Amino acid sequence: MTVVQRKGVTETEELISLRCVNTIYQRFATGPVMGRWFSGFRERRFLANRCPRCGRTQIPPREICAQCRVRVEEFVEVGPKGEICEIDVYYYASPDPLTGKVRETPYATIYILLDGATAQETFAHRLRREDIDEARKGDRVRPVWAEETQGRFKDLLYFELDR
Amino acid sequence: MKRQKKNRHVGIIGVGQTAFSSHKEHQNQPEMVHEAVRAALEDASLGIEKIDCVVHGNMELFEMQFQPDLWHSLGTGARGKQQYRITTGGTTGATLVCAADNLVASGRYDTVMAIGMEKLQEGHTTGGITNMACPLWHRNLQTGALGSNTAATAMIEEFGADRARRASMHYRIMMDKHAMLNPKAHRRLGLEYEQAEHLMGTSPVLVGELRLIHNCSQSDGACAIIFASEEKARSMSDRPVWVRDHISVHREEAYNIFGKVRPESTMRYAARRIFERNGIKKPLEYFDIFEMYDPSSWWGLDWLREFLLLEGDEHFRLLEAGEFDLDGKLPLNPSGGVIASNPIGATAATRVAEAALQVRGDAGEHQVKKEVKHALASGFGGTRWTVLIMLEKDLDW
Repeated sequence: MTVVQRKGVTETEELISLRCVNTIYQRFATGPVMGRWFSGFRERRFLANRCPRCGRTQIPPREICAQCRVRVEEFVEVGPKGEICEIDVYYYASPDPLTGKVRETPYATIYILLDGATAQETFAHRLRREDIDEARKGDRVRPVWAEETQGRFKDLLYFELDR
Repeated sequence: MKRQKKNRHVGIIGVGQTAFSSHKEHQNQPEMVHEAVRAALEDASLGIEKIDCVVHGNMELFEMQFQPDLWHSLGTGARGKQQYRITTGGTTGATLVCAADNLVASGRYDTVMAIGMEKLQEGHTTGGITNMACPLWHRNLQTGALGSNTAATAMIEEFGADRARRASMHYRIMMDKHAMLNPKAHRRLGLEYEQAEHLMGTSPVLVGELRLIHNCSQSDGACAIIFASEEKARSMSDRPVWVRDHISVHREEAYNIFGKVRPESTMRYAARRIFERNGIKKPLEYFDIFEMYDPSSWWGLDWLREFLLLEGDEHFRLLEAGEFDLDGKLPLNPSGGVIASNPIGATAATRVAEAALQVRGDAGEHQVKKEVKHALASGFGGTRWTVLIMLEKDLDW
């Protein structure tokens, strides 16, 4: 309710707002480069690509090296293990667009330097929930895969401490 | 790259802002836009018939309303005029300014009104950001706009946890003190420096070192700015504020830059380039105020070093000495900045509008004491998109 002035008369007016929920199903083409990345997932492999000019590995692979402006066609396998470079522990309950549900907190994103990757290129993924308290920068991690891998996001569940 | 010369000079001749708040139940989107547009026209003493072109900006997926510029034309007055729409995330408001400046400088239009808006309460910002992330990979990881923990941990490593946490809280409370002087600011909490210790330990943690108190708000509001060619600006206004230059920088990598070798930040890159081509060797000495897009007190503090081309702990020492206060060497965000008010499509435009008001001396209670001749404003958005805009009182460069 709000109080409004109209021609010198004070009135109380109901403020009406509308509520709605949208659910949208989508389908995206991955293209040959990200397609290769996802097909690697079927075999539980991380396929980066290496810039022919500056030599950096790109993870996930990208069609070009944006710094050198050249097409990147050489694929190299990196990981599967790596080292934690940064940890973000989230307490803010955000929505997960893959499920539509609110993520359970806390959860952690780690920035991982996979074995064989060049020093500037980290790969971000989730850390196993049970490892959040213990994990530190510099710790080694390994991937945990779904029982059945199909070439999609959900094949890679999370990383866990490699002890 | 060649010096990016303008065909002609461009002046800001009017600014208008709504108040920023968590909810605006009393008006719909076109009405909110109209409030800012009317304020800008009144500020410039112009009717809408004097505006040749309107540039509209917001993040449409935050309100989930397609072609918002069409609905909003009820409030912008764009009917029958040229209209363009800008949607560049957090940077939208700064890109609006760049676009309007370019449209006038090119000679295409003599007067252009840029209007940025967001009514974040009508959508779901974090849902929008998360659902809009790159569908091929990052959508599985994206968590809204909460990226500054990595900056916090880097500062803690470099300067020690105690000094870094205190400096971040000092920055936060300084911004609140500025916001308390700005009646349009959204969050005006009345914080005192004595509360720093308490807040550092009690404010809810969002991500790692980033607490709720450090972070920006989600606001509703709109900001309109009117640009004119030099000739029109001189005839329409007695105090035009000149847009000297702007630069826009971004990179495609967002998640993969936290390795053992880190690339130069887009902030430092943007600052180096724009200052070099304008012959500015010491930005800290040159500028009289800086309205920075500071999404959190961690990022704000960290980016001071980048934008002002400082080294080591210079930014910490300047902050600790009060040099970013309203009466300091370089007053920072006299408006209270983004931590106080963040209506996304309007946020970066508000930095420029507030900087222009400071140059004119019209900012009101949060006007800085000294004369403001040279002002700097920045914008920031996803994928480290950075914009820097230089404003001048005198057309003498």
